[in-house]
Amino acid sequence: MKSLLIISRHPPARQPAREALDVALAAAAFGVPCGILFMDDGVFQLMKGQDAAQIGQKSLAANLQALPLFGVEDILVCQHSLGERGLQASQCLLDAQVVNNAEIATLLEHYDQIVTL
Amino acid sequence: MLHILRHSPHSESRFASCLRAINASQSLLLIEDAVYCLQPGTTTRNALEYLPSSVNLYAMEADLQARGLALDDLSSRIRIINYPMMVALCTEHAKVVSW
Amino acid sequence: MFLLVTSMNFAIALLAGPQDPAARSALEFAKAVLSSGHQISRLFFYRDAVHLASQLGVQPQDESDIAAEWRQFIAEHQLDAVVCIAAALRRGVLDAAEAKRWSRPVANTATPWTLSGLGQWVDALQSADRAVTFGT
Repeated sequence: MKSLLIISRHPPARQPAREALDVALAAAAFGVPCGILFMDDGVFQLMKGQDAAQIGQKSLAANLQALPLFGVEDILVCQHSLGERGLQASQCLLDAQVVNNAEIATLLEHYDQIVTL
Repeated sequence: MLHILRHSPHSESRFASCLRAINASQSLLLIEDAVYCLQPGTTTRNALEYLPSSVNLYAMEADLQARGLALDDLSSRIRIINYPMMVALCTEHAKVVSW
Repeated sequence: MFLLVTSMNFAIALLAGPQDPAARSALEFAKAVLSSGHQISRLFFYRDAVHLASQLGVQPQDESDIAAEWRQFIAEHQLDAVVCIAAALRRGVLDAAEAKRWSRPVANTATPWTLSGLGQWVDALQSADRAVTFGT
């Protein structure tokens, strides 16, 4: 069985953020070994304390918390992207594993398919 | 692995993200607005030049021409390709990553 | 001894809409895949790319109609062209069955497009020799 790494790089208030999570959940629901890597502005999806209702949106938190429940194996966050945005892993919603540039390069090799959303 | 970049380096952080993730044995193809990084005299063009010489660099001819970038002004490292050559590149690399 | 060029199966996804240059890049790539002797196992249209399946766009006469070009290409080669149903409903792209289901006054997509779920993309990614995404 091939595995799939989904790279999510959109900030949470944008529709593509939700649609990237939907792909990860769909892949996991179909039994495809799957990981998700948050990088660039995608790391903002993980910030604690978001109240999306203030701008008339549904929170992403439920979708994010569903990732491990659906069997998304690796939940990863780019160390460089966090640092650029003044964030620390402790401020993230999920127990995401922080990966550096070298580890990201290795991940890209490790997964059979890479989908960027 | 073939990396495909499509965003202008001036509007998007994924240009830099891609360069950080690329390995010396891999290839990079510039399409759409990513070809703006080949504009002479820019830091983005320098960043490409500093990639290890083992990294193969390609750019889509139609996208260069559509945006007015002179083909004869490119670094000798850049190979100019068309769509059938892009298909061939995808078959030659085991994996394709679009940034 | 002579070289055998192996024919490959491509899964192609497009995420950006008709106004994005990626809609053209993906079409030119898809044409080149077929002309190079390979197959396209599935085309998948997600996010704003679902607008390509709408039949209601009207372009000025001296501008290209990328949605019409995609439709013609898909029909001519009888390709499996799946439009993500959730993304399509959100953006007002409905076939006759969905228009009826949701009591909407008009349907704006039909064959050669098929509305279906994300599982179709996951499935295509698993079985394809190469998966290429445009419009990220």
